[in-house]
Amino acid sequence: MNQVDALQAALAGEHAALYGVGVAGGKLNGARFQEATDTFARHRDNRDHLSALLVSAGKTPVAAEPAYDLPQAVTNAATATALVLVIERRIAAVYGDLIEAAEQPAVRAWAIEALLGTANSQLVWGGAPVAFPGA
Amino acid sequence: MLERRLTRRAAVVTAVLVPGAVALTGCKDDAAAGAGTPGAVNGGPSSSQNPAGETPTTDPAVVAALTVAATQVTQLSQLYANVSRKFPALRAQLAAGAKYHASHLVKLKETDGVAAKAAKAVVVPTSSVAALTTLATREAAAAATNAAAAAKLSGPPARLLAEIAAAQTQLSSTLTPPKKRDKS
Repeated sequence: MNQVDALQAALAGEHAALYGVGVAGGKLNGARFQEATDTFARHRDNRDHLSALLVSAGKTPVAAEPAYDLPQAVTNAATATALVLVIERRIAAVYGDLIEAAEQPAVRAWAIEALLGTANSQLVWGGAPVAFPGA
Repeated sequence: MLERRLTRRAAVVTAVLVPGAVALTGCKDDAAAGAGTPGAVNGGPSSSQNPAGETPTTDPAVVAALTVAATQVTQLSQLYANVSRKFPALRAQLAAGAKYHASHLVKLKETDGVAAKAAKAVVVPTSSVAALTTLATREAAAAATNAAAAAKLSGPPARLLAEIAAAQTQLSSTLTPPKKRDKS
C-alpha cells in the first residue's frame, strides 16, 4: 500500500465513521450526545484534512457512499455507544496503515496524532486500553 | 429501484471488507478482511531475509529509536512491578499495563540489535494515589517520546512506535486518579 492508497482508505474510513457516529448520535442524549458531537467533529476534521492531502497530491478523494451497513442494530443508547467504540477501534487500524505507508513526514506525523486521538476516544466510548491500538 | 439499491449496498459491503476501505463492517480480526497491512508489525524491519539469503542490516537510526523505547518500556515495567509490590491493592488495576509493556518489549526486540539498556529505577511514592499519578505521568511522557520518534521513522518501525505511544496514552488516561482522590 502506498501513501495515496492509504490516504484514500483512511478517507473512506472517515466517511463511514461520520455515517456511523451520526446514526449513533440519534440515540444518545445529554453528556453522551455531546461526546458524540465532539467525536463527529473530530472525524469531520480528519475527513477534510485527508481530502485536502489527496487534492494537493493531484488525486481525486474517494467519495462517501450513500449508506453503510452497520455491524449491529442501533436501537438505544447502549447499542449506539457500542457502535461508536467499534468505529473507533477499526479506524485506528486504518491510521496504523497510514502511518506505515506514509512517505512524507508531515503525513506521518498527522496520522500518528489521529491514531492517538482515536485511542483516547476508545476510552471515552467505554473501551479499555489495548496493547497495540492500530494493529 | 429497490433491487438496484440492494445491489449497491451489497457492493458497499464488499468494499467494506477490503483492507481498510471502510471502518464500519470490516472485521479486523479476520486476516482475510485485512484491516491492517499484513505483517506490518509482526515482521521487524530487519528480521526477514532477502531472496538471496542475505540478512540486511538494520538502519542504525531505527535500532537507536527502538532501543530508547525498549529502555523506557523496561523502566516502566519495573515501576509497575515495584508499585504492585508496595501497594498490592493496585495489582489488579496495574495488571493490564504490566502485560502490555511486556508485549511491547517483545515486539521491540524482534528487530535485530534492539536491547533495553540499564536505567535508573524510579522511586515509588509513599501513597498509592501518588504512585498512580507517577505511573500516569511516566506513561504520558513515554507516549510523547515514542510519538515523536515514530514521526522520524518510516514503515513498520514507525507504526510500532506509534501503536506503543497510543497504548501508553490509553494507560496514562486510565491510571490518572480522579481529581477528588488527588486532593485526599
